[in-house]
Amino acid sequence: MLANFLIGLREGLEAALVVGILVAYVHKIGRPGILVRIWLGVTLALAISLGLGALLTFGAYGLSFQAQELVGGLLSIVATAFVTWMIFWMLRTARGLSKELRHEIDVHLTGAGWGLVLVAFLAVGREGIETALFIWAAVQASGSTGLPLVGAALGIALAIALGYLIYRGALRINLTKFFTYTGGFLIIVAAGVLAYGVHDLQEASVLPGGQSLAFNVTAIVPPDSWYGVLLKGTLNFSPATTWFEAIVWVAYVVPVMTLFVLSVRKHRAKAEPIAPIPTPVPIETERA
Amino acid sequence: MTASRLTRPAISAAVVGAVALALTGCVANTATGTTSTRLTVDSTGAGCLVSARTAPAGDISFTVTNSSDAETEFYFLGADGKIVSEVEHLGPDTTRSMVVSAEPGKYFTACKNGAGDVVGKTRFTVTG
Repeated sequence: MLANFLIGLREGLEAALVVGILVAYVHKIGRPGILVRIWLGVTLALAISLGLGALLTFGAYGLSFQAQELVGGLLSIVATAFVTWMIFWMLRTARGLSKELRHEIDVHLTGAGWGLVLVAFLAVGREGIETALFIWAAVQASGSTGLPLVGAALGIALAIALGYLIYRGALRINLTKFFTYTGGFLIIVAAGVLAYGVHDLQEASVLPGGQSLAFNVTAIVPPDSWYGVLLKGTLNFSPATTWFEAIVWVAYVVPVMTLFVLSVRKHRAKAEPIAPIPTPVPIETERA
Repeated sequence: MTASRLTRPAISAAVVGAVALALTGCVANTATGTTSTRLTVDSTGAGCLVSARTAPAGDISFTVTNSSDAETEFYFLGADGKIVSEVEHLGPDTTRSMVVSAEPGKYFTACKNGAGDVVGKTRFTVTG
């Protein structure tokens, strides 16, 4: 049961964190009306994944290994592009917020309507078929033992709970910190998703070098340890990483993080002059 | 960069991809036809017990059961060690099937245990 629990947690964690941040963001900019777009993306991803997963498990035809890796790999790469877009879009929208130009936010939101649906859809659906196959296998097993299904369900429930905690935590911190922390975190998450996409395509033999490892720390970070599960579930850290994955990870993180840090600084520099002037504290004069 | 400039090509690509995969990516869930073999695999964590070491060319169905207490995977590998097909994310006490359309030749079968080690790598021959 523990192993099934850990798989459920790992598969659900990253999606829950991204959706948690997205929902917190929408609340932060005071536009809860667009939450429906996020939930539309999440619902579509769940319905399609579970539906396809059931069809492939119980139907006459399954998906070949290559096709499954291709779907997971390509969706992961597309997901990276959209999460990256989202990070910088959030930052631009925040500028409108700090300048008190509220209509600018609405202009951005109108343009980004389907973008938000897609980000939520991809965050949940990119490995959705794989996770659905795992869930349906647990359902199939429940004829003889219910433990796999209970474990899987508890793992996914904990992932959702952690996503909710991220959302609550993100609501409490101020806007500038929110963008800096979540943006920086999402860049590392997106880099992991990109490397994972490369890994899937290497397994499908679409990309070369699937067997040339840059490092293998499986002995230090066993995939079935709790920290191995958390690292894999949040950052997509693979203890056995190929050269191709490692190079792509660095080639993504370095320029994107640089651009992000520069944008945050520019944003701060612009925002500062209109920061409220501190009200002078009346100096109490000693009465003689 | 607006969302629509990003989403439109992405959606078109997704539709094209989905159609292409539907045409090429489907395999029968149960081995069918005259040249078909049904095998079982027991992934025990320490080993990888396949019910036979040879099969005639054609559809081979592997029904993989995880009898260990950790997550495992099952691989059908080519002679060069490259993955021909695999079953991933197999939780304890669960079973999943995989059908491989195999040409005659030398292959390997192997499992990955919870610690990430490849165990029970064994030769598998597909006869012509």
